[in-house]
Amino acid sequence: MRSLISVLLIILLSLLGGIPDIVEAGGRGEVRESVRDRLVFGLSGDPNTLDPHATTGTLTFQTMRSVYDTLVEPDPDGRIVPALAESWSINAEGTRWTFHLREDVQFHHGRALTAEDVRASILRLQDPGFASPSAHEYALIQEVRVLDDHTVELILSGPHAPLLATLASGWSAILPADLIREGHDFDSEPLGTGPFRFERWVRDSEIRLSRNENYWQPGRPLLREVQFRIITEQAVMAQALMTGRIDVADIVVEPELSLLRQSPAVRIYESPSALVMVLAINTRREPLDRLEVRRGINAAIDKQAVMDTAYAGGEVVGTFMDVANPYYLDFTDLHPHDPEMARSVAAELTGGRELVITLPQNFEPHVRAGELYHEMLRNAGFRVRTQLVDWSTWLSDVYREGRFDLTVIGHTGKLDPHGRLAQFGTDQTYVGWEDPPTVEAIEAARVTLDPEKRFEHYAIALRRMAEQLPFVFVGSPVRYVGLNAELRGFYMDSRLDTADLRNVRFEAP
Amino acid sequence: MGVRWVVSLLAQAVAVIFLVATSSFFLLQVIPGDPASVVAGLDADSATVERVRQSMGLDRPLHQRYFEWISGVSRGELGVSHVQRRPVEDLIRDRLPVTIRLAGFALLLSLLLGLGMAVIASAHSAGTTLTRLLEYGAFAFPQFWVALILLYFFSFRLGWLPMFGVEERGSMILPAVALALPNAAVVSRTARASLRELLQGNHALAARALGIPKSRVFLIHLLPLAMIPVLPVLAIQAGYLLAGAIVVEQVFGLPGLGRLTLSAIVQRDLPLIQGIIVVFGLAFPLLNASADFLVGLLWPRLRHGQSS
Repeated sequence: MRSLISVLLIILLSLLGGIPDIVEAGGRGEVRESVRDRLVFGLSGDPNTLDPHATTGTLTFQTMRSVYDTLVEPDPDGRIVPALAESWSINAEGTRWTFHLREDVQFHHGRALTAEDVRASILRLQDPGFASPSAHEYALIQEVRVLDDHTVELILSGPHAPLLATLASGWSAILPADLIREGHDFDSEPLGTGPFRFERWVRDSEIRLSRNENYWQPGRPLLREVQFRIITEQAVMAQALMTGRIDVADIVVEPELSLLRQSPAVRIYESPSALVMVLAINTRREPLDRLEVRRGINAAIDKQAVMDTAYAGGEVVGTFMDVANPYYLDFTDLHPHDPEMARSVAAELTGGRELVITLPQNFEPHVRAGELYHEMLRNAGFRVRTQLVDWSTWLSDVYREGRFDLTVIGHTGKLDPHGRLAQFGTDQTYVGWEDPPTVEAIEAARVTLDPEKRFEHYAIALRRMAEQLPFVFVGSPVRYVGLNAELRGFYMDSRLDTADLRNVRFEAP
Repeated sequence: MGVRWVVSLLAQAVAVIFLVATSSFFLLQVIPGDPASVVAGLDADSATVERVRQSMGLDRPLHQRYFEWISGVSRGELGVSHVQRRPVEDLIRDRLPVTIRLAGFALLLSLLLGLGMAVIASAHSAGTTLTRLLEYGAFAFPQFWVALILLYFFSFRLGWLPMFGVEERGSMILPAVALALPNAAVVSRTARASLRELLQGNHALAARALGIPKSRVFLIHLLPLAMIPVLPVLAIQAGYLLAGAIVVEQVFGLPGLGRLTLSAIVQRDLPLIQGIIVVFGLAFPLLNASADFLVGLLWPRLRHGQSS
């Protein structure tokens, strides 16, 4: 009997641990404000760090875009416009860049922004001990001179046109010099000049921001609070958006996209993405080193079908540039879809060699695209096999070491075409395609400041790539964001893949 | 529970930690995937990747890294996460409460559900069939799928329970149910077998002969005895709950150890993976020991190696 009582006691005691859950489960736990000025933003993953200098991860910039500012920023038309710097000038040689800072900017801890903060931020990015993954973008800056409190000069070892776009990108966030000096923990306690101040980060759960009342843009931001909610399951994200538990789903793909389109509570925000989806070809390997074989592979692929089926729609491209980019040129007619030609190549030129398509297993759309490529190539008579690897294996084996035949990936764009094209044509890229004219054109565009002349240089490079096919260039997909139907003023910069929340508000009911 | 018991438990725990730590360290060196490439990202050139690798300390010789790490482990320091750049023990400590709450709640649920099923099965022959079906179901359906189905009905359709996170009321119920179901089946099977044996044994016969009503014999005299084989099974299962938490925490967006494990693996955050393996490895001997302890406490006659 005594033993029974102790069993019951133990069961009871452990039950008590669970009871609060059961008792409290009655309510829906959801509070609807009468005036909505609190945004819940569904984020598809947890950032590794909140330090924009320490990562290339989109999730960091997606959240920190609202906490930090940059010297300049992109506008919706792709122009670079003033932000923390109200104006700037570049000398004729392109080696001396002078920025005049706004005088009404305050960091969230109350100190005014000065040129010293810009200097400290750039030095931090360049510091080999800090090892920023973006350091190479600032490598040409030899010196950062503080001319006075609100004037700063960058001295370059040579002209470098992409620098302006770099300074407008999230990783060029300006951090306060005093906290950098003190060794502040920017990884988990970001502090900048942006429209929202950082409140807290519960890893793998949420990031909370509140309005910066002293933001330098008058009357902005409109929201009082932003909560980034980390939801990794797409199905859960869609259900949360449909039931109003979140207001933004940062990225939506099929099959949830079709579901959300039917919901009256949801509006789908579409923007052309800066991605170029490719079937990358290892041009170092037999028989892929031969242009005719690459043309055969290219001819076997029905690109529009792949875009529609695997990537939820988008526009076909013929070269290494996204359709919405000002530097885009249409080469789609150069190599049309031609299964007949593909068949003769497969029969005559591959020597029966099996081609392996290596797919990054964590990206469902790429896996789906890979299955389509497999099918299309097999129908054209190629011997193919598909192999799935996880992301970090893909990065090291395929991307860094070039151990693959064919692989499927999307190449992101940057604000400047150099970000996408740098190194192509040299032996440094994973496709191993070497082409001196391309290298020359990309280098000429890099050191040229005049946009029209740059366009001409890039046109040469893009034509070479379209002709030589180091990739099957497939298309640029559409970027879908799911929004609460009452949300207004939302803007997503598709080249930086980050949302601008300064003008976001809820429509009065 | 003598001193010898505690000493042997400690020795066992130390040996397990050492073996687990050493084998995990070397196994992780041979799996493909380069941590520096993950952190540096797609756009980095090879010089940047090399710099990142150096900042992680991965450029140093293997034996040096091993001895540094293993001596750290002996002091209770598990190294610094490559990706989050914080001490691994801090990261794990932050996540443990959520997972312990989830696993504890699930353990309790599985015990109650499992015993309930076993009692029903033993009480009636139709109950046996029903229980068997439930057991097969709980085993056969993947936790991931069960979790999504629960979420769909109780959160999305009915709106009774939260969809994600831990702050809202009742947020642990669905995850704990999803996590508990396979365990409940194990508990039920073990308890059922032991009950069947007891019902045919001398205990039951003697009690009936004394004129004690059947239901009373069953609930008061036999059920507690049937628990004896269940407790060690439950201890083993508690270990597996931690593994199941990886799936369940992912679906319900709970910031626990499971999520941490998954992202550590995806990002090849070697110090973090190693640290988690050590902590999980430690959990098994501890749970086993607590089961032994409980059995000894509740059934003192079993304490000195006597069997019933």
